[in-house]
Amino acid sequence: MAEPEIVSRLLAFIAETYRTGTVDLGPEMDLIGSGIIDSTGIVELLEFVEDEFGIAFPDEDISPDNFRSPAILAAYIDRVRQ
Amino acid sequence: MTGNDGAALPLRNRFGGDDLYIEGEKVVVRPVFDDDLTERYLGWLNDPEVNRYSMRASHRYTETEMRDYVAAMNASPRDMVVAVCLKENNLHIGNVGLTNWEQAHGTIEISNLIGEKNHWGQGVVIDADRHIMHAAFQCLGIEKFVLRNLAPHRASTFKSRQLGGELEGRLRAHVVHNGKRVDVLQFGVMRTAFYETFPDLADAPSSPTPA
Repeated sequence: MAEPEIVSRLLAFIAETYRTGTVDLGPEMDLIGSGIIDSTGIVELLEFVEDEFGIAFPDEDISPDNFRSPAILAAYIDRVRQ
Repeated sequence: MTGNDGAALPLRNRFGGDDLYIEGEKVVVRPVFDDDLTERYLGWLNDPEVNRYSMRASHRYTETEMRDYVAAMNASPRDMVVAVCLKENNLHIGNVGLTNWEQAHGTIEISNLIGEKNHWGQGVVIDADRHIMHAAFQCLGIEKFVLRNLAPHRASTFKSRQLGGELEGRLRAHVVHNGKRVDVLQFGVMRTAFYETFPDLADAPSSPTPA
């Protein structure tokens, strides 16, 4: 699965799961700073990513650095899957 | 040995006392008063969902234990508990614990209990913690916060990282959770990392009481 497709699946999940308010849905959208995803909301996203893309997040990688935007998360997923 | 001098003075008296009032974007933090020790509060302590990842999850609290706990925290020279209230209506939705203060080393632990579940997922914990931590860095001489959580509590792991924490240790199979031994993760938030994470607070004045 190419990175753009990973981004598309992430965006679809984000759109149906979270209140995005006035934030434009897109690869570079700010998931953390905008408040769309907080420490409670992250659990649903983690579970989706692990189920959908067949990866397991080690505790060390559960960090805002990997979840700041769909593009950053997709790059992480792509890197881990290789 | 605690490393604290003036050990008899309760920590709460050094950090705002009855006048404690820290304002965040969504919440305000104030002391826990007797009026807060309600059935609703007791319900939080005994709600399995609220305490799903708590290290005291299996204990069922009585009203007397709740009152004794708050009284002990309010009298402790190394610990205190504060109330987290919604800014919009002052509703008490949970607490923050500051524990095991080591004055000589500038360290303290911070933990959360948000009992009103309909306010989960709204960023209230980060809002409360970051403003309490800012005030404590400025006014208590804290250099490092310590946060611990069960490894399966991934929301808490994420929160610790959001606050600028680094994973410093893993206590392997340290506690029993749902009948299984699980790891406990320990995070440290250094003063410098905190202000790199929250540059908006770096030059902001802070006090545990209103100016």
